[in-house]
Amino acid sequence: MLISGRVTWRRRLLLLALLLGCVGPAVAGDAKALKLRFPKVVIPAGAAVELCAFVRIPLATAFDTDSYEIRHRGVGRGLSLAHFLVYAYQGDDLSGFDSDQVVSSRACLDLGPADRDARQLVASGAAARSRGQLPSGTAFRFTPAGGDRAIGFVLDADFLNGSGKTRTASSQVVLHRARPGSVKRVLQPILERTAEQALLVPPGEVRSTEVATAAWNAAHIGQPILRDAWGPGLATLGAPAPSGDACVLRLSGHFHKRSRFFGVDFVDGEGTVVPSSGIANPFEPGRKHLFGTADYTDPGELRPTPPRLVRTGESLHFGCWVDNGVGAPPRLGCEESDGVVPGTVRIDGGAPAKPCPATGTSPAACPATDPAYPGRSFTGRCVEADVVAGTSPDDEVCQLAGFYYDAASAGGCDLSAEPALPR
Amino acid sequence: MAFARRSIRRRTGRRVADCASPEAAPTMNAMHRLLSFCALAIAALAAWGGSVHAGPAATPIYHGKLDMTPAGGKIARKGGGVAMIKVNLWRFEPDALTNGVSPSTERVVIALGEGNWALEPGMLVESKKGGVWTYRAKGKPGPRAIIMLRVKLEADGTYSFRFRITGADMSQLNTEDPVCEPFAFIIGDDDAFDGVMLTSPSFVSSKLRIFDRCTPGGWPWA
Repeated sequence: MLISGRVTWRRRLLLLALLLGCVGPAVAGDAKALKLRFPKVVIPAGAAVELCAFVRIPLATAFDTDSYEIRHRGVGRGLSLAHFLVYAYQGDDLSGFDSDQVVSSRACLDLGPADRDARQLVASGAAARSRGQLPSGTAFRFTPAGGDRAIGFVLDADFLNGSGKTRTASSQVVLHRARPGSVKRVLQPILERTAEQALLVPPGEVRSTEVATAAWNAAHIGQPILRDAWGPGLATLGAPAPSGDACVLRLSGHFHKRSRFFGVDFVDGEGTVVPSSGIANPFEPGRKHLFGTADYTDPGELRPTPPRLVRTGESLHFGCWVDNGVGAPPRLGCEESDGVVPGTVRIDGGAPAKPCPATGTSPAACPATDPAYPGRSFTGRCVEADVVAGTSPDDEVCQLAGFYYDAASAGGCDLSAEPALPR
Repeated sequence: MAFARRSIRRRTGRRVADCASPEAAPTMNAMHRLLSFCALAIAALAAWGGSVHAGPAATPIYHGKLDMTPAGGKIARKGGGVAMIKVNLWRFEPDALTNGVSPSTERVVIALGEGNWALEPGMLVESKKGGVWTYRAKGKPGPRAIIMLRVKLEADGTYSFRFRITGADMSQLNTEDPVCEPFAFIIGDDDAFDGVMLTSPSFVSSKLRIFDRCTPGGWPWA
């Protein structure tokens, strides 16, 4: 770069800044905050639309955050947000996301690779300006995994434009770095998936994962039983469970559109469900749960204050109540054997039925073979199928999600006497 | 949705008859005096510590409307987020089919979040001219109490009310802001409810403000 005339110290500084900027993509390892932007979108008058964006943040080293701010531009005067959720992607396929697109998708299940459900809610806020902070001494830790020198976030914005005009909106999320020396416990993810393993709901039924799991356990005596629970020392399918007493800070659920209710119970050391005066189960009159939700697009969270201590021997049991054609259209799939309902249980090595649009003979939708389904053949008929666990938005998941931290050295969840983690 | 600043619904409406009012039949006067004395006695005995109960005694069946203006309070950050809430002028419009509203003879409940603050029948004392009911806590109220409540029957048939309560659990404001809490004002079997949005200038500020309506995640008293 040639500069004519006298090179002042200001121009030298500018040159230096330009050279540093040209070295390579900026890495946010030393940044005081991570900034996530939801791009400007256009919401037509009268529209209710859920939009999703993926944000990839270059990151060389771990980033601890204990507070956030969210700001929305353009909301108000008829344009509002039903929810705005910030998920940290915790799967293995960061490259499976397209960072350049804003996608319209319920629960953002049409965005990203097959393990898109491997995500954790880290921030939320539908007000024009909102903020949040973790309890003193705790922090989320974002770590670039594998070969990716980056982390990814899914931003889920559910807009409602009640005005008579087309409106535009955009959002910014700022995740503040935790003060050095302030972190005593890094929050660990809760992601437990056993409940979906034996899930099978025949057409025309509402069935819970509890019933499906009990049936599978009864039919597989001698094999390790499915517990559909998370707790210290329990074998898990998902993120590792704590080895000792744990303090649950946040609790939520992952499920898809056919699950009409997700419930969580606290189970004591004797294996007895502790009665709760919390959320009523709509399918079991008189039964109430520690946490319950019916909205798969915004399941919400339980944030116990103080954090809920789960001791060794105790656990959180969870389940989904799944509807296959009672209150909603049934799952349809390509028949594979004459008269046999397609869709088989995951834990037995099965897979969901190949989707098809409408019942009847459909050689186009259900050809005899399909390269996308190797080793499987089809009769050409589209029929009502079983609902089983699967990665597509048309199949179900049932996962306990949230965050915990290891209990204090003296027991309990009070960290005031705990030393800070080494920097 | 923003509050309407001092929104007042002007409409013609009949005043709802109050069985304890001087307008009652003359033959009721003696009974009325006895009831008033009893009500005063109960109110005097119960004035210490306000009155906080586990929940409304009966489920309201006449659901009216709530008109709110910005309100405020204070939150004790180090006290786990316990707050004092002060509301200066909100309005309760009873359902058109109500069987009557009687603040001095019906149980009055203020519900906010998971908490309920109640005054038993008779604790709200009507003014001599009628149409205004007041309760003030005597002595040192407990940590969770109604400090004062004033209900006034307006010319249009609505009830304006103002109150101050202590012991509200706003611990959620220590980790997120703003928060949306369900609120209900209940007089006997009449109520009006809505979600209220609460905020504070920062996570260390003791100031608290109710600034907007919202849709809460649930209604604890439902």
